[in-house]
Amino acid sequence: MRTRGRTALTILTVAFVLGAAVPARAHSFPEQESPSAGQTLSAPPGEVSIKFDAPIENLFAKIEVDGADGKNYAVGDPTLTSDGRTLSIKLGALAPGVYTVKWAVVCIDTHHTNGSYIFTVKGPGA
Amino acid sequence: MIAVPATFAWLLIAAQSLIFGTAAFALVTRGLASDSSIDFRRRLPALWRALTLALLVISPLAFLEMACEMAQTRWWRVMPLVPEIMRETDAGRAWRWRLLAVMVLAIAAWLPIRERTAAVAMMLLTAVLMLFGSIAGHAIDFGRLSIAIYWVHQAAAGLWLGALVSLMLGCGADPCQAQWIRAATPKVAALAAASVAILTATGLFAAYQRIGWNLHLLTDAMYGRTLLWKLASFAIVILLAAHNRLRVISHLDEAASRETLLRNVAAEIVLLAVVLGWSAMLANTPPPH
Ligand code: HEM
Repeated sequence: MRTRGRTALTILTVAFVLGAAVPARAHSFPEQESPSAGQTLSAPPGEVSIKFDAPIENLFAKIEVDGADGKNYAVGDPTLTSDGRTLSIKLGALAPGVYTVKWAVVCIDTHHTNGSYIFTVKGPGA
Repeated sequence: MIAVPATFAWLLIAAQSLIFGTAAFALVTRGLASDSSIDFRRRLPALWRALTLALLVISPLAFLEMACEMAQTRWWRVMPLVPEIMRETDAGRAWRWRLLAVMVLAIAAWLPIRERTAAVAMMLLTAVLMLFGSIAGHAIDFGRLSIAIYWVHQAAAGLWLGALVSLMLGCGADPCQAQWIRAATPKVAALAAASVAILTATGLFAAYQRIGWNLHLLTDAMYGRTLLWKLASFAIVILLAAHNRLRVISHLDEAASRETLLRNVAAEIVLLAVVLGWSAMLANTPPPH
């Protein structure tokens, strides 16, 4: 009985020591954006990219960049890095104004997440 | 709405855990005198066949539900996407192998093979199902070690549930019943104790990975609240199991104690089915952000 108790305690300790190396994380939410959320840029960006906190599925990855006129300025299909974490999309010519990045992805654990954020492109001399 | 996928997941984990656990118990009790275990061995193939048929029906439905969740659409709209999902997504690839393993399992359950070979085949194939279940779930977010630990958690659940159901399954008419209970109960008790230790360690590990030390998430998030319900149900099973171990098992020579034991074991099985229900809900609830 005593040996069994000790074995259980050892398993628990080992599990927690190993567990400490992989702390709790959320799944497939942006960790870093470029341009970043709320950023004001002096020149229009050529692309938008979002790094997620867990790998996502390319098949269901969606991203669009809408101007104040409601038009989507993203060009072509989004691309995903080989580690499955950074999603990018090329942009057409952006005029000065406020743009909304809307993303929707599926984490490799099958759960769906989506969200949006804005960035601003300043006009010349603004 | 997680009720439908969670119900499918519940039926799947219950069926595969039961096959895994009863097959393991058949191997563990191979040395017992054949007249005491005659009813258990006679009933096992029928149980396995019924459960594999259930897996055969529910698995494609569970896969389609998962595909709907991924594509955010309805069953009839997701059908054309199925080949792409199976080819291009991690969970889809895991499910491709899982569906294949279910078919092999169903064939193996109907083959006229020797009892020991059948038990080994049932155990190995359901172990494979559990592995693909681990790969197509939250554990994949945390890497290979987590997948392995998640598998161990599921296997321990199967061993415990399987041992309890086997004990009930082997109960025919007296005097065989009395012999079977006396011979099998110590093995059930040993398996249950080991399983509880493993389930607790691996379960707390999985919970820590998903929630960390943010204990407020236990009450503020759906995932945390489901986990609390699971722990509460688990605690009741532990109390019942402890009562059996401390008060009942030592008096198995008395018919009244054997009756009490069977009644409590039946209650433990029902409560463990409830724990499996909470587990299926957890597997279908996004861990909190
Ligand atoms: C201290 C006790 C326990 C804790 C803390 C615990 C915790 C957990 C957690 C966090 C998960 C992961 C769910 C996910 O996000 O995918 C899980 C899965 C699971 N648990 Fe437990 N658990 C415990 C006891 C048990 C017991 C007693 C059983 C059944 C006998 C059980 C059966 C399962 C099964 C089968 C799964 C896999 C569900 C699936 O993949 O569909 N657990 N558990």
